[in-house]
Amino acid sequence: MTRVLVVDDEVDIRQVLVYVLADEGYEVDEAPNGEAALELIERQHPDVIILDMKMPGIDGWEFAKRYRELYGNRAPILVLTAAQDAARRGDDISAESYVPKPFDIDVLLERVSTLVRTVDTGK
Amino acid sequence: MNISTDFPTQSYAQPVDLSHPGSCAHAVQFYDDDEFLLDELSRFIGSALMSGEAGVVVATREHREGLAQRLKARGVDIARVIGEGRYVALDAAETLSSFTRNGRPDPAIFSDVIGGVLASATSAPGGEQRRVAVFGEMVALLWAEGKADVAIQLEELWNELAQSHSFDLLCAYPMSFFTQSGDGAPLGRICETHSRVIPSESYTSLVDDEDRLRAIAILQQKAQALESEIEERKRVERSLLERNEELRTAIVARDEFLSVAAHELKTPVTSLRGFAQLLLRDIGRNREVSPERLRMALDTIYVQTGKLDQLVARLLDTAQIAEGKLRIEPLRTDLAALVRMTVAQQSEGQHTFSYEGPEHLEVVIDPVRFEQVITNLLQNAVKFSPEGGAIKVELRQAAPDGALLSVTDSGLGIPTDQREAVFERFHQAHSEGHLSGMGLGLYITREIVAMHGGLIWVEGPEDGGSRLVVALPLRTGTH
Repeated sequence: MTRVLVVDDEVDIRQVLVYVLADEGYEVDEAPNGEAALELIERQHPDVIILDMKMPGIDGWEFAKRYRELYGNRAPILVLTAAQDAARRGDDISAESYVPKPFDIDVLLERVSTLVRTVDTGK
Repeated sequence: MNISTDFPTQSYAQPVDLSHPGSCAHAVQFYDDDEFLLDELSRFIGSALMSGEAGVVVATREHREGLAQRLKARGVDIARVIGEGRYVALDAAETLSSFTRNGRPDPAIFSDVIGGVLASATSAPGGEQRRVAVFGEMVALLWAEGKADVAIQLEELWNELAQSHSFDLLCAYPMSFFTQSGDGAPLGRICETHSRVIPSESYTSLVDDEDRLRAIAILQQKAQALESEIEERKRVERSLLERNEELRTAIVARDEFLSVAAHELKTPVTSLRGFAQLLLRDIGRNREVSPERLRMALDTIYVQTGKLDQLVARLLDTAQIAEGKLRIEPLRTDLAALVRMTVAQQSEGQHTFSYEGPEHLEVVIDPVRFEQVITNLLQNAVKFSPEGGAIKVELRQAAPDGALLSVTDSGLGIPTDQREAVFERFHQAHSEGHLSGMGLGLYITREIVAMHGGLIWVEGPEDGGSRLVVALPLRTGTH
């Protein structure tokens, strides 16, 4: 089963994502910041990571840096950000994909499934 | 012909002392008007020619022609003096280029060319030597081309030539070359290379010594006024630059703020739209919406619209503060009851609030605005305290006539050097750490407290965290 990790400091946004992704049959883990996400990954490696950028503590930039150092490009990262220029945020950390906030659920799901297919083909 | 009676106006351009052969004068004539220059020049060259001496003119065609006309008018027989080798008129540009190599006068060629001209002009029949009056404006041509250095070099070559040749040299520069305050130094260098400096006609046309002294006094005043004017302009320019810099900084801060404000507004909108889409998908698939989801969605709508409302209210408050339009309506209020009520409203989260204070404390404040102050302080404490952290609220009557309200969080504390900055507008917007917020809460809080005649500051308690203290005079707002 495909496992998605949602990293966002806003509990409501995490909750929506958990519901939506679970409805589509994904296994979903959630973390409120980069620190918690890295801990989670040690136990259970996700297939896709949905990452907010602006978070207290270990933010999206720092998380991506540490994740790549530890695991390389094992799981693709989808940046989900309220920043003006979501594409640039994605470029900042060489993310595989990005979706601006507020997001359209269909668009988000489509991007996630594209990333999953890429991972599957790569395997 | 008696020159001094013919030309009653004293000529400053006359050779310094023609009666002492071997003495060389190198004078510079400044002038405003071409006509004046030509008059002076015809006096200078004319008097030399008329007393049997020689004249050499290195000038523009215009000046050569103008001079020839004036010399004729004075009774000089041009053809005769040329025939006698006593009058030589050369074109300034051609002569200049004849000894110029790589853009600069070649000293050896200059000496050959000009020295040759002077030698033939000075040699009188029978091996006699006669004096020669020379007018040159090659330097003026160079100056006009912006080659000030080359002009000065040429002036110095003339001075060197004076070591081996005997002549009286007059140079001329139009004053229009020196209209900027920065032209003072180059003008000084020109004066240095000359043994005699003749001011332009606005000064030399004055006949009376007393008039000249008056003119000098007036010029001194003008110089003084210009100096002050220049200083003043420099000061204004500096302050404009500083103001520009401030504006630029303010624009950067505003842009940062707008980007942060947009981010802050998008966050609740994202939750709202997310839950709306979630429920719509359920309904669209004819799937029953679970009570849990419905409750979560409604909770989110309630909480996030509250956040949006507060964000918008803060933006409006900030705009009102900026325009000086924020108003308070002070009333007799039980501050203790207001604090307890506001604390109770905030106590739903995971933080532990404690209240210490009197049962009642009557003050004159705007209860709505002051509730906002207390809410901001409590929310601020929640934001900076770890989950489950203790938040201590204390209220006491301060002698003789004030109230002290403090809120202590259990966060990391604020470094001493940043304790003022937290009250600045947009502070949060450009601080590190990505904490949510627009950086307006404490700014608005300080403004409201100030409108009540109170003060707010940050303390660092010894046992950690930060303490925000509001000091209020009890009878504020009774005016």
